[in-house]
Amino acid sequence: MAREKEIARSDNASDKNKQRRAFIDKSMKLGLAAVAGTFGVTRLIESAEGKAIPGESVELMTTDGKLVKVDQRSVEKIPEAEHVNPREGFAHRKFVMVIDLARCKNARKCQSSCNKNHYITGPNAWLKVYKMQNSEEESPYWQPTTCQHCDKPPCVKVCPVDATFKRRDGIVLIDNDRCIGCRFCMAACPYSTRVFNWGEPDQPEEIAALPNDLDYGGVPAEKGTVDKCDFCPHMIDKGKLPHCVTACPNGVFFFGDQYEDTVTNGDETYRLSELLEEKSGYRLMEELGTKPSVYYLPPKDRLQEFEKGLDNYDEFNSVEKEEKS
Amino acid sequence: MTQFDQVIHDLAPQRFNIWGKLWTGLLIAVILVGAYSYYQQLKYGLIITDMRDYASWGVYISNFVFFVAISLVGSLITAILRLSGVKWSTPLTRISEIIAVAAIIMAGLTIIIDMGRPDRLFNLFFHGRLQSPIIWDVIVITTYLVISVLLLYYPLLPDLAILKKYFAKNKWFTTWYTWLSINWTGSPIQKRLSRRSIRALSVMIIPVAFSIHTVTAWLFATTYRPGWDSTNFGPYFIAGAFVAGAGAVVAVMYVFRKAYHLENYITDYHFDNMGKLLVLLCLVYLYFNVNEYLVPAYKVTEGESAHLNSLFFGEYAAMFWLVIVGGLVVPVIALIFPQGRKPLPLFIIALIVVLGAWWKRYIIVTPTLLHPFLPIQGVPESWHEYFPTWREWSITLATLASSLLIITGLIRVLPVVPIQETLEERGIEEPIIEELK
Amino acid sequence: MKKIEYTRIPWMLLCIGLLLLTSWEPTFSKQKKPKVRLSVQYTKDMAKGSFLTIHTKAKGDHGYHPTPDLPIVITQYFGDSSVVLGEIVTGVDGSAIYHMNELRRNQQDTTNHFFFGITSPTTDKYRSAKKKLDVIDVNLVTTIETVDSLHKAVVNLTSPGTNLPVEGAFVQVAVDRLFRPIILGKDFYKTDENGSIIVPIPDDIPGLNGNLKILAMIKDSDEYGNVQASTQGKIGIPIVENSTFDQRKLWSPPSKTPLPLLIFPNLIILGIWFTLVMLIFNLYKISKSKSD
Repeated sequence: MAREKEIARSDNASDKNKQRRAFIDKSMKLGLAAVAGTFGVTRLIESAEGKAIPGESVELMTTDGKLVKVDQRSVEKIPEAEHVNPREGFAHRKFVMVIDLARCKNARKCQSSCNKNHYITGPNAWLKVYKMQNSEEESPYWQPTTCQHCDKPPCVKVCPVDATFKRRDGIVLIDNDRCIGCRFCMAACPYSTRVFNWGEPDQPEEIAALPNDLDYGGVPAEKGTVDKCDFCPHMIDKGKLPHCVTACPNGVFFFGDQYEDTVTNGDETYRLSELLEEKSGYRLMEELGTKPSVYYLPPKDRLQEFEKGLDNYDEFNSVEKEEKS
Repeated sequence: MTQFDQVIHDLAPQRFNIWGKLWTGLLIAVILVGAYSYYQQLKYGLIITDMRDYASWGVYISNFVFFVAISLVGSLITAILRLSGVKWSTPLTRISEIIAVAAIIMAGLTIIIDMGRPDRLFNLFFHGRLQSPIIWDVIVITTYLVISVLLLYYPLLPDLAILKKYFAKNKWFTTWYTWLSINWTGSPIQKRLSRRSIRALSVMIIPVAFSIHTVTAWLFATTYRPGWDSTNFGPYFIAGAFVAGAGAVVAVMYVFRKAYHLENYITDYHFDNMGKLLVLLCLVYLYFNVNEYLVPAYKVTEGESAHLNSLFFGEYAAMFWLVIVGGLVVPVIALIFPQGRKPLPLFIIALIVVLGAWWKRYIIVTPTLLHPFLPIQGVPESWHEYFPTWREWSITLATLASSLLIITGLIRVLPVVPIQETLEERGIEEPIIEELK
Repeated sequence: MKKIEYTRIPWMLLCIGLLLLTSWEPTFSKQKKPKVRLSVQYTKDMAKGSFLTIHTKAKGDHGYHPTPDLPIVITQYFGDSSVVLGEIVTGVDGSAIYHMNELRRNQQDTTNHFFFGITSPTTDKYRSAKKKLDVIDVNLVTTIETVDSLHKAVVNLTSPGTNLPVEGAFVQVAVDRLFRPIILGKDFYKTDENGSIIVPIPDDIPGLNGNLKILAMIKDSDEYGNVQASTQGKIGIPIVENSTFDQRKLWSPPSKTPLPLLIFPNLIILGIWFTLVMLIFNLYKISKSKSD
């Protein structure tokens, strides 16, 4: 009992420390940004930005041609991507995804990109491409399935410790520092989209050492907690589309803001309402009343026949094993 | 020896004989093996179990449900029967309260064993969400534990006061009995306070007992899954709980009657009545089972179809029919006959009923999880099935052994049958020792 | 007596020399450094200024890979002379952005034609590469006009300095959205003799508070590079936010528990626990009461 109290106290203390550090961090950021502003540092555009590893500095050119090294965190982000706090999310946005089943050829690039970028180590991927056949007479099709980020999320309803939560922008995330591993959310989810870290996740050292970031699911993964698709807020933060959207070679995934009524797969951009009306979009298990944020376009007039995708189909595996050198 | 002394002599806690010691030793051994497995689980994580992303709840949860079910027996025997004016069950109230306390303590511990991050247990209190059925479970289980302990303690007071004199030679017992009997003298004020308190507790425990098993049932019924998505689950679980609890009481009362030669106090009449009660409870539970399985079988919705198939004809068929027929139907038939309600046959049947009750909860928890809405794909073949690993079994057996150890331990120091109430019922009064002039 | 054939000696020397040279060749070509591939794009944002986007890559063992930490020198040419504008270093992904707020002009030259050279000098890893880029500077302006509650985007393309219209340029008009803009009308419109195009804006486009940002873009033009202009107007439908984040729901955090759940269970729990405390207090009373 005493040990548990000790752990809880140190958890509590480290929570407080984290809050303190976050506050100091914020004020330091503000100060640095102000100083940088007086040099007239121009705003950094994403392509020159490196990976967001804390402590890394970036070289920027001032308007009078001088080269300065600035801490990457102090660089002002694109205003659109500004957000209040990771439990609340982006203001005035509601993220939706549209998956065009007519285009899916089971290339699985979405799955491998997601696995790779979230350092998924278990054998169960967050994004699964199901071989679906609703009945014997109906024709089979490939169905990429992410977390549906439901508007009435059964998983969030049952979480006893507020470890999984729904944000203002519609994204459902998991706080791996809070999760107690009761797995009630996994029992409640009808889409079988959540995975559990049954043992110690086998992630690279530098990933496992990272602090918990609510915007970046699975980085790092924690033993005894739940993980799932996060709609990549860490990418949205940089003005980029989620990994699955950009990785798909067939333009299957569309992503965007429902309030803006716009979705894009990177190359094609549509009005969401027009796309859903024209292609007769639907949601999975609508009758359960979960109100998912993912719409599907029926597999009509397919780009490629279903059978060709069978080459890539692996019934018993969804995460490629890393070849360790 | 006066009648008074006889009763006390019969009912006072006795030393364990060789069997008692062996029994305790066996329980401790089982617990130690389980404790080592749990240490492994803390070190490596829940990966030492056979649970994986589809069968994400397994034997730990069904074991937990079993414990909650057993704990309801306290409310049944002690409260419901007592409040309805039933007198024959009085000797059994102590046993049922002890079983209830042991079961509810182990229920709380068993659920912690299932947590992926038990180090974060206190998040339940710092960040608890009232919207979550797990929080409801935590609240009601805690409340039920307190009520059960009080309902064990209050009737114990007069007995402790009697025993402190009986054990005058044993310093250890005397100290504890004196301290715990809190100056009980049997005065009118004390009797009135006790009577009122026991009455209040008996009334309170019934809704709380109904709550704990309803809330536990809702851990499943608040999900969409076939097999769990049932409006029937609350009453279904409670009916099952009474069956399991009654069976447990019969089993324990037989053992103690034998071990302590309490044939005068726990008579054939008690067994006969418990047998009849068990028949009634089994019939009620069978009725709920019929509702639970036949109605979906009539409709066979898409979600239910694979699940019901596996229960009736498929991989879980043997277990299912064994539990229903062997665990419920056969006992009912056997107990209809008076010969079946004799102590030894009833004891065996009760053991079968309890065993069946344990496996029934396994049948409720696991098959549903292996029949999700979306097909199971992209995961290793072993994930399509679930059977507990030997470590899971050792931990589960350790929890069962722990509950038995608590019962055994309490019986070592507390009278199995309430002494004071027995004296009152038999009209025996404490003889007044005349002062020697 | 044998005659020593002295005439063969120069031939032998030549053969030996050739042999040495050819045997040297392979080692020489192994040390040959890969050449950097440069690609440059010119972009002029009418509000924020011009910049060059430079992408670099080089051939490695497994195809092309980006080249980070590569110095790039940007030069501007005026007729025969040249001025080094600045130097920049590529980032992790091999790209760099060089901002030029004011294009340096030669007073005599009124053609608005600018010439740049982008060089990556030889480093210890890579050979040098050079790219030339010439652009014609234009001013792109877009405004929103509303006539009879019908909105349209009016785009004007002029030459800086003379303000003469630029005809025949391909411009795209779009509504700014979070990830990619929504194109209005046709994919491209050609500027007329007045250097302008008019694109109707539909009246059912949602925007924050009804605000819409209209973009006019020249894309990948051989003459003008990329040019972007924008304007804002309250011509859209105000977005209606339907998030339940602020409401008390079954899926809200503990601070927003639904009221029935907050009130009734708590009342019941308090009632029961109050009674339990009283019952425990009764035990205390029992222990304190005197015997008769």
